[in-house]
Amino acid sequence: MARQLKAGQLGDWPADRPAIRVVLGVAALAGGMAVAWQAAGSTAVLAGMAVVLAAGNGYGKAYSP
Amino acid sequence: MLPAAVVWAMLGLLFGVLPIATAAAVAAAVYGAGYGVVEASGMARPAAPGRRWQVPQDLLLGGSGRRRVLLWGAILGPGLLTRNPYASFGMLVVLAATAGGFPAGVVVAALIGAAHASGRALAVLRDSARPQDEPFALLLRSLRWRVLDGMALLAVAGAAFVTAGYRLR
Repeated sequence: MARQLKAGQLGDWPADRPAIRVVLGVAALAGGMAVAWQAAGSTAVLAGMAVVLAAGNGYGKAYSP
Repeated sequence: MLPAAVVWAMLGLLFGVLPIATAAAVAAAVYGAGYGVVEASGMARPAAPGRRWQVPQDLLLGGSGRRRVLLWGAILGPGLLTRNPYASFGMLVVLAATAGGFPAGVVVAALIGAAHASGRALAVLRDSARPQDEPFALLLRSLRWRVLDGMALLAVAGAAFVTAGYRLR
């Protein structure tokens, strides 16, 4: 029998649940801050993130309908 | 990959001569936090900023394989002209301006272009090697990718917030 999805839930992966997404979002924000803090605000952190983000964006764009 | 690196390097050169690196870090924090929350929470609006244009089929139909590869590489590799549903693409433009100066800004921008084109090419290879997903599966995957994109934007926003703080001290 198909499982009922709650409001805001995308699918049946754990990360599809809104509550998990809030936790992951806060962790992502805090993680980014921690990395930049450790690097004392070095430009290299943002540059590295930009390159990874660019590769991910290019790869993920093909998923858009 | 090469056209993408060249186009983005030119953008980096333009940003490099302008004194906007600190302002760009502040903008990256604001943009990343805003669109990060929108995408990670699954809100439909506001849509990601950017162009709506897509490569018309008549540009590709009837041409040789070499012509098609050149067109796709030159237009889709840099990604600046075509529609992109994810807000991280706008963030790339902002981040290209955070490096500041010459040659750092040009190198970072060129790497962004090369990485975007490589990811795009990998995705094309991935899709050509397996049957197309059903429309609903494709939509669900796109929604999940959008959430992941939002998480990545939040991470960048956090880093940009701290970086901007160091620069403004």
